[in-house]
Amino acid sequence: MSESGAGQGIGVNSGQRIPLPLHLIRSGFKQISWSLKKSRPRGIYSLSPLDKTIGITVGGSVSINPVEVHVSGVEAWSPGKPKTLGKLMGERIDAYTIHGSLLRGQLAWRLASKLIKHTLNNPPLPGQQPGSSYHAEELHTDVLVVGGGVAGLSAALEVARNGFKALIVEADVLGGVMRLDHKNPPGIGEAGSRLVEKLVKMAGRLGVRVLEGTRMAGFFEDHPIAYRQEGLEGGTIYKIHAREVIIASGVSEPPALFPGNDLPGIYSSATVVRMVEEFGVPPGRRGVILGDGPLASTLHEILRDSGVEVEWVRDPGDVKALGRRVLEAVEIGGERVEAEFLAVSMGFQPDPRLAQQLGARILYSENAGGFIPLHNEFMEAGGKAIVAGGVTGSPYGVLHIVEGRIAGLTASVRLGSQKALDERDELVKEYLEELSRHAPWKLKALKAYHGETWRSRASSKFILSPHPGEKTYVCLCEDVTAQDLERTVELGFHSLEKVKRCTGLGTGYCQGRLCMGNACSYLSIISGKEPKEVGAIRSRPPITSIPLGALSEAAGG
Amino acid sequence: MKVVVIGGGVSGLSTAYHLARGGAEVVLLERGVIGYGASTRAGGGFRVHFWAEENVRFAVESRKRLLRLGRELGWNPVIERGGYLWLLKREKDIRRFREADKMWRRNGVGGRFLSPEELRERFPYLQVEDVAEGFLGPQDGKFHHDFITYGYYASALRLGAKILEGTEALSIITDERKVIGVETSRGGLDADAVVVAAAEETNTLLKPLGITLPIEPVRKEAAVTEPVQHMIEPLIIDWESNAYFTQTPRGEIIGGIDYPVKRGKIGLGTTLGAVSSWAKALTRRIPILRDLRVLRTWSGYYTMSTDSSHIMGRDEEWPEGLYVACGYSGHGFMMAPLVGELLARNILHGEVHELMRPFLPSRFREGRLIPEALVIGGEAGL
Repeated sequence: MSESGAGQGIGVNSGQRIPLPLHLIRSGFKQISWSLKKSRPRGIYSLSPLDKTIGITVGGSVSINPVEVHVSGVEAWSPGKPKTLGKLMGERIDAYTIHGSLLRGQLAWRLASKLIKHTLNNPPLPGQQPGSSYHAEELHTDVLVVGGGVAGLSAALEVARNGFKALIVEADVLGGVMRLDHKNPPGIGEAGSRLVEKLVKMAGRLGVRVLEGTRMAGFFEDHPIAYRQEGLEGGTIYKIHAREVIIASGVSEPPALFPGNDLPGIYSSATVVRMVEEFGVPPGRRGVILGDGPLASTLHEILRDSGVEVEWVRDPGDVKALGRRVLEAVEIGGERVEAEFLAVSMGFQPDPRLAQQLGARILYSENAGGFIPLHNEFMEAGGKAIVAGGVTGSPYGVLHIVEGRIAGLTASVRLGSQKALDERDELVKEYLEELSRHAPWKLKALKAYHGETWRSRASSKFILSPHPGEKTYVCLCEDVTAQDLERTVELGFHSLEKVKRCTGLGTGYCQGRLCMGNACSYLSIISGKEPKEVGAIRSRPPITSIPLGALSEAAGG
Repeated sequence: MKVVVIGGGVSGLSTAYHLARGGAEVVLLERGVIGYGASTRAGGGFRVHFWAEENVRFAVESRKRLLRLGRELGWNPVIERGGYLWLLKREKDIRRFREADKMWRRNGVGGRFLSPEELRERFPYLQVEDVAEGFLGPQDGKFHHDFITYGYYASALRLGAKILEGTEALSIITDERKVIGVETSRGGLDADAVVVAAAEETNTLLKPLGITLPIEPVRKEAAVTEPVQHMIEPLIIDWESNAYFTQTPRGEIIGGIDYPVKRGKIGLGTTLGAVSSWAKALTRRIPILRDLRVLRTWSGYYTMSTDSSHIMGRDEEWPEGLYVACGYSGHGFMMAPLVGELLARNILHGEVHELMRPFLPSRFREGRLIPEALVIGGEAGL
């Protein structure tokens, strides 16, 4: 095998079932793939199955998200280092070179497109029909709860207490971010991990149905759909029939913007916590924690305890990541720190896409550092959506419990429970008090739901270098850099919908989950337009990709 | 000459661009953002193969312009000339194509009939045991719809056209028998001529003038997968299931299927029904795609006219200075380059080009329809 994990035939052999990228990291290979347009080395950024930013071919299955493969002894294919021609052609499909005078002529393009099609570094298709098998299943419940973090669990518990059936669909494992927190989250008198344990136990006792490892793919007009990938075996597509829906889909931890931010070896803080705690695979011998996000302190402790040399930079100024194929060092405020890994802990960002699909209006919030669905004090967000927790922009901590409970009670009220109605009134009072204590800005967001004008500036929470430039990736999946966004603004395009259509931003593997908020803030900052004018990308199902084989099982007839 | 164009889809933008090129003072009004309802939602195919000869002749000329659009607009339309491949099962469909091919040959765009053996040889990934014959139209192909829309937009701006997004046309103002302006959500505009290229909303604006065109919106859905190495060259139409699919130069497999939805304006959502039927039809034809993942779905509108052919120009009985460009029935991108050019000549010089004449709105009044049945139901943007 070559010096990196990228290349034909990655041999993996281990008794322990851990995600494929961690096998590779353990053997010293952080790079798994190459990006298509700019031929940049790529590793994984996150272990969350929703944060897919690369697709590889494993065991004959194409476009697999490597973090979803938990096997020992498989053959994986990932793009090898692109040959000069492939590299050149990759650059040609980049939004700005494709329109250059060299390529837009009829003849030149005819030639170029032939070359492009046959040399692009895309995953190959299998030679024969894959052996994987897919199933479709119908599920009936009173209340569907999307997301099994603290908010989702609290919501499901209220639903069950009021005598209704609750189904939690969780992309990963129950507990969300708080499960990883050994410290006391704000307003909570015990460690996050302890609280999660208790909630999970209660959910079990009350008969809450849970589908872990199952991604909510979206709300089609005719059906909500969830999908569960079973390694390389295939998967199950769930058609869900629910009377009420609570979106507690939480947050994502987006990449921060600084030059070199796409290098293999840079991970979200939650990912590094899981690498060490769940799988016993430290990300390297020495590294840097960037920022003071909710998990930074826990992470610092865990790394120190496992003998990793770690520098914690709580308030990073100008940052640059250095390295040829993988991260080698981080430059912070002009000072070079040798690092094999970098854990980004600049905070979280709501992922409001599912709420938007259900009819919620989403707006940019400086305080949330991204887009939030507007909702009222009963957690109703317009359309069919009831929302709770991180997805609403509520800061990490006790608010997630309160919002979750109100959401569960609102669903019960809508289903006809009088008892829930009385309880809810009490809880709403408490909620408004907690809001003025922990997040007074949200009181304004509540008013905006009722029609008051909403104004917000762009947040620079995730923008760590004032002039991020060429090698700063806003969209990892489609290779869109900060500089690309500067060019679209020069063209007169500053709205996200247009920028998406001329650069491809947000149209790749993660479907905007990791890039939408950052793109909006950065476009707003460089164009001088308010985030409101930059706008959002309209989310469409599926937000997480589903195999054709699984979809065709869901077809009627 | 002052011209107001209502509607910022590809046909309005092309018309505005050609008018500005011809020296007119152009203002384009777009209620939302350019390309919103259909032009940024197309499936991205062009063809010259239609049942009606008028459409064939129009499309053949329009295609020439489409092919050189890159140089003209400064945006690469990413044209692919892989052809259209129809997979035919029934004897009567084959007869119909053979009949049409005679007319296509007359117009210089004849195609090739391929036996199942030839299909297997040229497209080894296709399952064709139930296919009786294929028809390959090599003159047809694909393009990148967003780049064409933005290319017209940027070029029209460069030539001095004013493009007002977020500005709704409320009514067309006439003085006796002549158009004199447009009332908009941001005030009034004077105009010597008004072009309504507002898809089904065209009727909303024409109704107060006592005019109704036989058009209606029909929503179509499309889907795209994650990218894989290149395999599918033509745009393939599975005639019976009405599914179509092809691959972009970037590697994604893109397509759609005819799936019954309520007619009229029903939002821009998508259905599991449509994407799953497409997935089923696609994996039956190309079983090795089973594990490939669908990344995204979207929908947009066809504006169907009663004869499924586009409507352009003016009816002599209308107030002077009033023109339309609508009812594309899913053929907007392939017709728009020529529609814009001929309509601009019509407005600026009073010339009614021989290719445009059959498509005048008066055809409905006079009963000279152009019945076009080769509108593949699920063919978004084809």
